[in-house]
Amino acid sequence: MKTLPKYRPRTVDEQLLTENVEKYRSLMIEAFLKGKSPPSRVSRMLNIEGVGEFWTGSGYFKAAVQTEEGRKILEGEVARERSRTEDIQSGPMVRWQHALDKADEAIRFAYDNLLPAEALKTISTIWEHLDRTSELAAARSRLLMGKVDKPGLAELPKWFEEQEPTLRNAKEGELAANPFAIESARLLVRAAYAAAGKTDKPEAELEVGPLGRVMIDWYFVGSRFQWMVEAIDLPWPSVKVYQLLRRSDVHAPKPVQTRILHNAYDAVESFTEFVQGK
Amino acid sequence: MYQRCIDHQTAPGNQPGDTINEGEFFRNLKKDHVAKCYGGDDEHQPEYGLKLRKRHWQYWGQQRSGLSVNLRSCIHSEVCSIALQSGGEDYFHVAIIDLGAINACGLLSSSFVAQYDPAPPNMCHFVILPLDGTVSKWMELAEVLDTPFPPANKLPATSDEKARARLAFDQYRSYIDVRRWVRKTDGSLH
Repeated sequence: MKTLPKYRPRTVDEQLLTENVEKYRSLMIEAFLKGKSPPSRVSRMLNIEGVGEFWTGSGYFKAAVQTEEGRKILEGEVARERSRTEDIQSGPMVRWQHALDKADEAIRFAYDNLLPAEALKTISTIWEHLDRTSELAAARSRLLMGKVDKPGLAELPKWFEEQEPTLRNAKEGELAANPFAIESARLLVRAAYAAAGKTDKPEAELEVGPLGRVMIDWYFVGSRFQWMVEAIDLPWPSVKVYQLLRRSDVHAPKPVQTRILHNAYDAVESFTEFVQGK
Repeated sequence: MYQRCIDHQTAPGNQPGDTINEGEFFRNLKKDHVAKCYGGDDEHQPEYGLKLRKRHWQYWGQQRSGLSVNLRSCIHSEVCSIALQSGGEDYFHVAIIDLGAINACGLLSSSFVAQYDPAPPNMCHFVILPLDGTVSKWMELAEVLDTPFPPANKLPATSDEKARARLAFDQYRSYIDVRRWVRKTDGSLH
């Protein structure tokens, strides 16, 4: 086996590792048994020569490397910690964004170039895939929620209690808010207040939003921060919140920013940043 | 009035389903869809004009069928826009929406289009829809069109505040121009 002058860990193509682990492992062992260098593709894949053995598991890899200083074990987690950006940015965390961009592109292409019935069929197929992805995200988030601490909750502010009846009692010819949306909204506001700590906390106006959603319109002078909370079939701290924010600017109007948030952590983080003027 | 409005339509050259991203459209409004830009302004001749009530915008997103409007260059008058509206007796005001100006405002993350949707005998009917999203895009539009006028809803007092308020209203009117009492308070439509 070739000896490396120095152990130099480099970015590893995690996707290739996980998808083709058995294939490359066999190729490598075969090469070693024959006394040859590892196949060039394997070397390229690991971006390092002299690899003796490697293993992968859920979210990590490990490789034995022969160096001048002896055998070293090269290992790393590929998707567990955000701080390990080298691995993350070269692996599936980049590819998912790329894949979704491609899906957007395919929808636009179908709309612009195909006959309407054909475009509808194509978009429907893509949408089905995206729904499956969405279900996967919901399922895994649900499982992960059991492993992290739930957000802290403050007392429900008085202004919420006072306005809550307007959510529950529909005006004539209008819908009342969905009770699950109200419950999510209550918890979100309590979590937001708990996270804001001793900072001055704004109040908000509550309204029934479209299709029984709950609209929370926070009072910020000159700026807008709005949540529209939807009922979902996942437990707290999963939520579905349409968030709109627009920062004040006396010189030029700032563009409106919207996001669709799926857990209370993200919503509360946005809230605290906005309250603190970040 | 009803028959005259039908006869005088100038149908656009679009096929049903065609979309356009500019043009002026009439949106018929009920009495409570309109508010003064400043609550303290004059009731009959508000100096700083009228705007759509926030709640009206927020509920546009609920209309699964899109925002129903009539093409101005086809239907020609606000009166005909209300006359050809089903259940038109509940509609008193009309907003003139400049779709091109809204799309060019630079504050929205994506544009809106108007899709031709003739509803005989109304051959001028379109629906306005977001091109790249649903609920969040309606929220964006509502926000852009509901920006508080300076100085934040309090009736302007100083000359500087008055100038800024007029500027804000001119900006608003370049997107939406509200014509009040197209149907008279006695219910007549002339």
